[in-house]
Amino acid sequence: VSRPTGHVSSDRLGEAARHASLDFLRDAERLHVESCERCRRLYGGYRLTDRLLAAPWREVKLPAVELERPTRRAILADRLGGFAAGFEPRTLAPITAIAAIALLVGAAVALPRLIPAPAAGTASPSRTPSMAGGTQAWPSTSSQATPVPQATGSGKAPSKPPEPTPAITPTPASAALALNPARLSGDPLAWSPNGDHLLMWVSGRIQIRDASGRLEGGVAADAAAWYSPSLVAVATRSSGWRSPGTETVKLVDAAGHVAAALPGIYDIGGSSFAALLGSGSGELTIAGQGLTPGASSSEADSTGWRFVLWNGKLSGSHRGVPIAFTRDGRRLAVLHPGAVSGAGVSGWLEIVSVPSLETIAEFPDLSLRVEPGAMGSAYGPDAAFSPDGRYLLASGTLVDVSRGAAVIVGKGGWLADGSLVTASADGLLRWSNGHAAPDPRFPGAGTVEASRHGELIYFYGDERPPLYLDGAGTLHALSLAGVGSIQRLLIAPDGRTIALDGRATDGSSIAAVVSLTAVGPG
Amino acid sequence: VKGANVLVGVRERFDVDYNRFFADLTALCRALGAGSAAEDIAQESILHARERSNQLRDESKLEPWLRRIAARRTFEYLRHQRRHEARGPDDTVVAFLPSDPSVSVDVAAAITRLPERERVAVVLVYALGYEQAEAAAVMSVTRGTVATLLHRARRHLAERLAAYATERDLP
Repeated sequence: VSRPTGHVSSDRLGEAARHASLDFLRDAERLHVESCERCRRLYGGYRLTDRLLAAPWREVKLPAVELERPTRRAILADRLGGFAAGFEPRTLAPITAIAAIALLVGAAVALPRLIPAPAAGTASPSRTPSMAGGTQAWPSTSSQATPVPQATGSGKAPSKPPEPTPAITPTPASAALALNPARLSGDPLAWSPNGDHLLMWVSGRIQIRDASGRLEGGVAADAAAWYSPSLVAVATRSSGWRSPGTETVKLVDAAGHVAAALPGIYDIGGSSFAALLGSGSGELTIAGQGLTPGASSSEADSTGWRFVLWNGKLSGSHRGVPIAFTRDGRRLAVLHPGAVSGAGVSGWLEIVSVPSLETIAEFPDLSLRVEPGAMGSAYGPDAAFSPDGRYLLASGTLVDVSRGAAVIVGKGGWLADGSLVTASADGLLRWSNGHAAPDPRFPGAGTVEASRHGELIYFYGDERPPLYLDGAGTLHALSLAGVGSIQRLLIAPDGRTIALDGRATDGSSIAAVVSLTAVGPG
Repeated sequence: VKGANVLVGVRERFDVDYNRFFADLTALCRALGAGSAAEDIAQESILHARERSNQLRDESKLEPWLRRIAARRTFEYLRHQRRHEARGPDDTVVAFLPSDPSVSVDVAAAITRLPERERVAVVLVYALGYEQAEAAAVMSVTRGTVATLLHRARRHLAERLAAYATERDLP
């Protein structure tokens, strides 16, 4: 105990901790430690440290905010805490004293200014936000009762009188339902087949978040698709940007851990459009213009597009670009492109069986164009089979896949009962038996997204609130706090959550998820 | 011709020992904090090294070389992530920590907030069981530097955990 501070040196305490006994110390040192709280604590710290370092290590998931390197302010606070605990008092006591004096002086000067004097005779209005007022004013559904006489715009005019719209209870209240979106960074890409997870694209990485937007995992990838409700297929560039065109495909779980790596290296053309397509029930296609395992040059079509199917084992290659699986995953729509661009694929349609890839039907005379899907950057084909697999809706064109007949209906989605809803310049159209009926509750040009359960969202791309039809058929106008306008929106297959991107009320870009569980039984 | 034989031998080792290399590098990247990106970084490191195996003069130094590449890529990834990936208050991260019952968020924070070089030295030597010389090769420093970093890290941890250990009557 010869140090100027009178304490036992840190190194001596560390040595004693290594021997797990204070008996290692000289008598004077030991007596000091036994009577000095500071030295006893430090000895305890060394003992705990040695125990931790000797333990096996493993990965632990913890809140990021607790583990990130602290700011300078936090470091200062930490040091002050150390001072309070008895560390380095000589160094920090003057600083702390000066800070305390400055704080007291500052408080004495500032407090009188911060406390406002009560205003005499002027009662200020309540600042509690009103559900019925403000900028979210939107006509009640009853005021929209005038039916739109004829659907026009991008939708083809129906040739027969429209069938009556099914009776649906209008919203009793005119107020918009206020919801609080959870803001996210990145572009939402796709909901998992059960709606429990959301894929996001963030700075060259795929993030997997839960339905509340909480990050669960991530992986560097060029493309991703849901292979099953719990596994995501990701294509990862193998060798960096200097040697493009070689990708490996892996299946990762929600935490981003690799569950399986598919055999082979693929050339998917460096583009995420149409590269991976998942059925969500255990089938995956990998498409590209380069060589894939099992391919031969004679199989290439005019644009060189081929694909392989993975369902636990890898198929041989097949010509064309897969654009949609049926919901049961047993059939696949394949486009044989004559031209491919970042904005879409045009070509003729073939329907093949899964997993044999044998042709069920082909329509060489039917020219179809499929554009990238609604979310992300050139992400996924905009094509979906009807629930019974009889029809294919591809970028606004409805195809009867048993006959190859096509009609332009406008972009939209399928409801659970097999009916089709599309958006037109005059509002929402409901299709049944080949006829369209306008739904007057959704007026004006907008965009419709439908869940597999039957809920639908109609939104406008401006300040008007999106309209949500829940599973019980009740219509709601949604007031999304902080969201100025919606550019793109994805509704989860279970209809309980939406992911959106657009503009915030302050004009900045915004991406968010919004839970709809508070809205009706949907 | 001799050089060519070495090259062929190295490339064969990549093919034969791929799984072992991949597991070793994945563990290294995870320990350094790469989390779910560890497999990607490990794979890219192996492919990168294989392409440049002609630069390796001594086959016996293949594994330290691979580890150095993986460590460097992990640090690049972490720097990129810190710059570009804003984390929300509810986000979680995967940290590599001792599996001791006394490990709480406070203890985890004490470990993860060590200065980077000290934390890396601790992880390589204590978590992955590297010899100090192996750790030095990965970190591109001398063995003496690693010993110094470990000494400092132990002292820092002891100081940060002193109050925690006393309050909970540990150990």
